[in-house]
Amino acid sequence: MDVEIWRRAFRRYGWISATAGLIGLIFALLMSRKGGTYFAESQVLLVNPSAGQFQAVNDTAHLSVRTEDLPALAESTSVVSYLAHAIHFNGKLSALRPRIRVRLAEGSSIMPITFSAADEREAIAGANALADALTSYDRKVTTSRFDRLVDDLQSQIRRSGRTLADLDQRLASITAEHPLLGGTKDGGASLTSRIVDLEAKRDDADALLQGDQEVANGLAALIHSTRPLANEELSDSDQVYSQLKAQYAADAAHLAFIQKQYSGRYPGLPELLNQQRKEIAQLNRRRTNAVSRSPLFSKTYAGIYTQRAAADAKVASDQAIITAYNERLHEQRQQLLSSTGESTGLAELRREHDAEDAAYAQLASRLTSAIADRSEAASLGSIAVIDRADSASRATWSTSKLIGLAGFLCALFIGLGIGYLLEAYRNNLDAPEKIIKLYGAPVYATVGK
Amino acid sequence: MISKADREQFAFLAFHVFFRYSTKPIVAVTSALAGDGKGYVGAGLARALAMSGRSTVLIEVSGNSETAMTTLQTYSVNSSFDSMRMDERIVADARETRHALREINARFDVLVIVIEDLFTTSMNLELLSVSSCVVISIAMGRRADHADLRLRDFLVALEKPIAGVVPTLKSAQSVSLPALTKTTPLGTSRAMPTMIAALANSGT
Repeated sequence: MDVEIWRRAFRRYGWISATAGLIGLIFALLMSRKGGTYFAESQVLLVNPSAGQFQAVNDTAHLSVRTEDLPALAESTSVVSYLAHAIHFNGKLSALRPRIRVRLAEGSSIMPITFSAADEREAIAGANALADALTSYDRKVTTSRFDRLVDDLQSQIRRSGRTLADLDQRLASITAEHPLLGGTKDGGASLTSRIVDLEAKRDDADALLQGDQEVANGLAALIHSTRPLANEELSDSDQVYSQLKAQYAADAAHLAFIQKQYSGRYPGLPELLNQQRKEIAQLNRRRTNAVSRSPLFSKTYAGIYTQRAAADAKVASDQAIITAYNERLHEQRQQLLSSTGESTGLAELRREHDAEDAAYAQLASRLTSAIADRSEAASLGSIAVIDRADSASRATWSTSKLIGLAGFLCALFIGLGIGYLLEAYRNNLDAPEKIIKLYGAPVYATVGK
Repeated sequence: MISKADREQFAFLAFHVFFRYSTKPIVAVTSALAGDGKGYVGAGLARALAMSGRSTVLIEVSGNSETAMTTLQTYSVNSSFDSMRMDERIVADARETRHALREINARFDVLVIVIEDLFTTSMNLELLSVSSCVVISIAMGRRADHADLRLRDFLVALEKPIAGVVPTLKSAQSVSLPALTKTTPLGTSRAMPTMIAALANSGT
């Protein structure tokens, strides 16, 4: 820097420096009128509510607010509004924010909060109000999520209760209108249960019928197989046949003896054979006459026939019973179908009522849990006040004065700098050096005044 | 009007001029812009040179670009160095001007030529070319002009040495004196006679 330029600059543009200095001086005087400032400090502790012990600031897993957000939180509208209310401040909230300072230290659980004010009591009240505001805000944030849940569950429970009341009313009206559907006071079975009972009886009767049917079928098969025996008995009961049969047997034996004795050389053998043939034919004729009678003359056959008849009667009886049951069922069903709408709706209503009742119970359980959780969260906070401000310190030389002094000096230097620049870049030939530099020739004389 | 300091300044300047250009020098006094005080400087330099014992003539050159005629007004300093008188007024065309200058130079030891409007006529440039050296007057405090650069570059191109640059202050740039000039039919500039008269009236 050329000293000569500075000298010329000060001589030529000193008025600029003087003006700037004057402006700076006025600014400094205005700032100095602000007076001294009091600083009060309160401290809050960051607590881990789940562990129940102090938590370092940099371990924020369980805090409701992130530590890096705490300074911004301290200047948030809600906290500053609380502060303004506490210190009876009626101006703009933005005027309070510069007076708030929150410091965070690495590895420390303690967060100091500083508030500055012109009045000592206001500074103390402000620092304490900030600490309280942060604490209550933290609690509010912690419980707010439960508040919404509780409100939601309560509204759902109210809706469910109204639905249940409506269902109860409709059930009561239907049962009052159709007692058979809903059951009577004298304890009689409902139509549906009666139908069920009849169906059960019908099923029993059907099973019985099947058993009797099997017996009847078995007896029928037995009768058929008993017919040859019956024929024998019929034949045996014919005396003529019996005599013929005895005679034939004797003659057959005699013939057999003869044949054996004489082996066909007996002269009367053909006659004996012919006689035997006649006896056989006569026997067959007689047998045919015997068996042509009703088989019932056979004791065995008659006995089985009687059993079969009894079985058939049993079967018929069973069928009649089943038919009666079917008719009764049909009648009951017709009666039931005549009130189809109410019975079906009643069942649906009952199902709906049961489902709604279950939902109501579940909602009530969830609501109870949410209320309990909210209470627990409200009792434990992430931020607790450990040190309230009870005094305020005053700066030895207020910031406003420092700012004023700095402003004055800056203005002065800026003025000098402007003057230097103006002089340095001034191309007026007002010095012999400039003329020499321009023409490259010496200046031996300067004339005139 | 002219202080003792100015007279001393002119003497200092004359010493340096004559020290370097001692053989019948023709000193051209000019300036880049009008009003820079070249007339004052020319007169003061001529007086100082005369006081040093050299016969000195001051020539004021006025050119007319329309007629191409040049007026050479010559002034000489009297023996008491208290005044100057106009000796001759030579009106010559371009061709004769140089011849006239040679004749004047033959009679005098030093010629001091004050050239106005250097670049307006070729005669001015011609006069510059015959000069031994150039003294430039410049008004102190004015802004540097492109005319300054043009003059400097021109002199460098002509290889004309600049004997010195004389910054002039206010009083040298405009002189307020009683009307001592004489008007001429050709309209010679009035400034030179007025300054010369002022120089004469200031005395030693």
